[in-house]
Amino acid sequence: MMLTSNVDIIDLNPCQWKKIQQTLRLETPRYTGAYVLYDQSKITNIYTGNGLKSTDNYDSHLPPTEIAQEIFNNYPNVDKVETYELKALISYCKSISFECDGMDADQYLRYCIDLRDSLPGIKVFYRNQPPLYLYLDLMKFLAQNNPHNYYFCIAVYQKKQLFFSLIIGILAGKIKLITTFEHLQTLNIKTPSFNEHNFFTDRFLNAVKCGGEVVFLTSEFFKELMKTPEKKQVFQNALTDKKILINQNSLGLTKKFIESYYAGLYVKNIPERNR
Amino acid sequence: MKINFCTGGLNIGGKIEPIYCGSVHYWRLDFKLWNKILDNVKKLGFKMIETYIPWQVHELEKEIFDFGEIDKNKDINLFLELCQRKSLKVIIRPGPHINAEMTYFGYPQRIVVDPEIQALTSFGTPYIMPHFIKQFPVPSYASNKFYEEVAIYFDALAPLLKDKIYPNGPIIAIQSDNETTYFFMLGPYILDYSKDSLSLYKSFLKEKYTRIEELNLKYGTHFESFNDITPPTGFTAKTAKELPYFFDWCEYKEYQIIYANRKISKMWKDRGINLPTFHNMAADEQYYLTPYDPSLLEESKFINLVGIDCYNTKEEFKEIKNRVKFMSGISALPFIPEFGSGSWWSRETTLSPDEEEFIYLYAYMYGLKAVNFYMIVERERWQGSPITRANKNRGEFYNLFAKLGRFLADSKLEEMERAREIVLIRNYDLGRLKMLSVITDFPKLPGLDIPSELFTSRVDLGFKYLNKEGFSEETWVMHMAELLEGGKIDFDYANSHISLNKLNKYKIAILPTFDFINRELTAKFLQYIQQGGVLIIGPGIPYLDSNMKTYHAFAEFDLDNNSPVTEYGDGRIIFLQKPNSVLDIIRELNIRSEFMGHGVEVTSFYSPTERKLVFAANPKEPLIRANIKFSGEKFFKALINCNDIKGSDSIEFNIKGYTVCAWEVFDDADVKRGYNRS
Repeated sequence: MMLTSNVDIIDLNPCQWKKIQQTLRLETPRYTGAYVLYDQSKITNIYTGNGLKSTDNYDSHLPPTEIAQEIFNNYPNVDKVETYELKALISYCKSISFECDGMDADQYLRYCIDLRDSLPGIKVFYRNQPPLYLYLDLMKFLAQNNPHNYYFCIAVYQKKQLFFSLIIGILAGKIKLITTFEHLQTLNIKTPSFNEHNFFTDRFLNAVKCGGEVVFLTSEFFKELMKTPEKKQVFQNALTDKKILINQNSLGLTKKFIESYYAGLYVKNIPERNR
Repeated sequence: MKINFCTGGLNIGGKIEPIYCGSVHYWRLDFKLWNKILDNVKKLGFKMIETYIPWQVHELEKEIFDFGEIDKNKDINLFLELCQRKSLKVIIRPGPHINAEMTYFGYPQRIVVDPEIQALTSFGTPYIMPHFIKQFPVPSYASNKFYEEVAIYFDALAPLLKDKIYPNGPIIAIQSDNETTYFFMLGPYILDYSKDSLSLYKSFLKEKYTRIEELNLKYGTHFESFNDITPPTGFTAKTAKELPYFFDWCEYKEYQIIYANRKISKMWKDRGINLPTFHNMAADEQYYLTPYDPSLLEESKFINLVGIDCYNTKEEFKEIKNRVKFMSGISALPFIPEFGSGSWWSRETTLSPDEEEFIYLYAYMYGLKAVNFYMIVERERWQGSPITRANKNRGEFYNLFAKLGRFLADSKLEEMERAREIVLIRNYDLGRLKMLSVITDFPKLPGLDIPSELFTSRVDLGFKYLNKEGFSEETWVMHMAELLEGGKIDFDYANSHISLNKLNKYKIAILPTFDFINRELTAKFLQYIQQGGVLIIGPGIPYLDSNMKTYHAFAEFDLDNNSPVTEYGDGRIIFLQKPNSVLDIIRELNIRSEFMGHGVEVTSFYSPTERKLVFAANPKEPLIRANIKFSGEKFFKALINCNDIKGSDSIEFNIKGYTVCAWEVFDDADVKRGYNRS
């Protein structure tokens, strides 16, 4: 669908890449999970990170919703409970094992997750808010908006210094390139400062001979955007205050994604939510 | 010219060449830059490089190959000639499996999509590996067709390589396959239930038992032929007597890995590629458990050396320590064939140069002798190597290797041996039991991350010691290790398949024993005692053999809590129900370290010429004031990350967080003679 199997992932500046990882980690909350195995609707095993738990303290016929609640009550550190019916796992395992060489990796993953979520024997309960599926939802967004040949170029600046950068090149509807500004050397382009947005945009899009979206933003705004529930407003303010710069001739996908993703448009596939 | 692995690295025609090597993937670099890149690699201190030779890259279609005739970046001949001209020796890794973050892990697409080649799960389906770049069905290393296809590639490649073997060319060693372990699916019931695998399973049983009656006797079954046997797909035993059937499946899984590597290694030898051959085990945490069996693999005549890959973070320092100590125990040459220099692009953590330095030195400190840094020159889908694919030096990452190279040249670590006299053994049979005691196993399922412990069988097999009050081999070994470390006693790990020769290196062997023990294993350990070794067993005295037949392995010694020690031959056997008194025994045997760290971890190395090296590590965040105690007056000549210090009975120093430092140490006599290297 989006990620071609011969994607070029090159010239990743390790310091910048480390910062991207740290940022993505903030976006991917870690959960302390507990796991419950059912065999023909009967609880056979309960496992937490501290080992197998005795099932004697629970009615073995408690349905998933109730056992999840019991575990949340008994284990304050557990914030996610996954319950599996053995047959459902076997069915899932069998159903995803087919000739799928024609599918891109993200398409296959989306297929699997949709299938997983459709199986009544596999349930996930969260003590609080369920997570967002940033990677898959971004892929889905890109596929829906279909930028056929398009470059995304994102640079975050901290105290006027480049903090991290990311360039994603989409060619013929597929992600073909993932890189950082270190790649600019091969295009004979100097690493730009925040104020050189316009100049850089012209040079970059000329060099890659393609349309695209060049987004420069301050790390201060970036952190604020991560935290705030008012993402749409904060984003609008940042545009006005020039804490984020986006080229006029772009498709405006950044704005569209932030507004839709964080508005919950892509939050789905959570089979159960606790409380 | 004769080339062999030896304790110092590679013995090339009588000259010992330390293995200090780095990976360069020629086909991923612009061939016009090869010359300058190799110069830069040499400048960085490397005299040896390693490269994969990927099947997928060189095969255009079945039986049609491009070794540079069409695409110059694939000109392996030219690349090897350049290495030869620059006196760079080369280790080759021609697969067939290479991973290397390549789509389909380096196999041609036509291979992985061929149903005749695919490994099957216990549910009869292929295992589609959910790789981030592209999912693919994994091949079976029992598939006859797979080897027929591999042979076509090897036939095409062998003539090129044959001309380039040292001294005519730069090639000095070859790796058989890569991380052959069911594509990281370690659970015994996940793979491989393909037709050829089941057929190999039956051949294995036939090889083991010769006659079906022998098998029936052991299983308590009435099979008419080996063909009637089907393997287990989950743990269904209700009694211990049923265990041999499950143990055999585990053993078959180990056998398939050895079979595959023996076969691949032999394929090269049959084609005239007679080189020292090694294998790399995956950087998995369970390297001491089935289906990994480095001890047996290294003892097989086709594989001369087995190493374990390492991709750890600094916070995982214990894992690094234990892994290197394990290699020191089981292998002639503790070797990390892939030691992460930089990271694959999708790794959760990119390491900083400081973190990498700590990790490398920490591994050396515990006995690492041979290493290949993966990757020394960056390429696509990789980041953080010292040299970029455009041949630029990557600042601190580059400087780190210059510093490390200087340290190794100064210290001559390859000539030295870490001081340790104890080996703590993982009981392989108990590891098998742990792994097979699950009602079912699943391969990696996309979107789910289920701990395999969830499927643990709760059946009580009626054992007297095992799993009583949470008592397991693992908890016993961990407790013992904590005691030894607390007592500042350095030791190695091994598994119970360690050879008698290797076992004899140690004064003390500590073997966890529970309800059952293998008869051959018992015989080996009794020989060890007879030849002067001290064997410590516990917490139970076995009363069964691994076929679950009555077997009082240590009956003749009358061991119990009241008389836990018995002399036997030139050695002793000691029974410890609880590990706590192990330090008293060690003290009684006069085993102690010459250098004892306080606040820091310390190891010491000695050479036959009586050179001494001392390492100290602070594997925590804050800077600390530490000291090392010893006897007499000594001069500590700084080698890395420290200053020269002279001290009487002890030295004190500051050591930053996550730092390893090392000194060469000179005794009182040297100091008095006026030895002054500073």
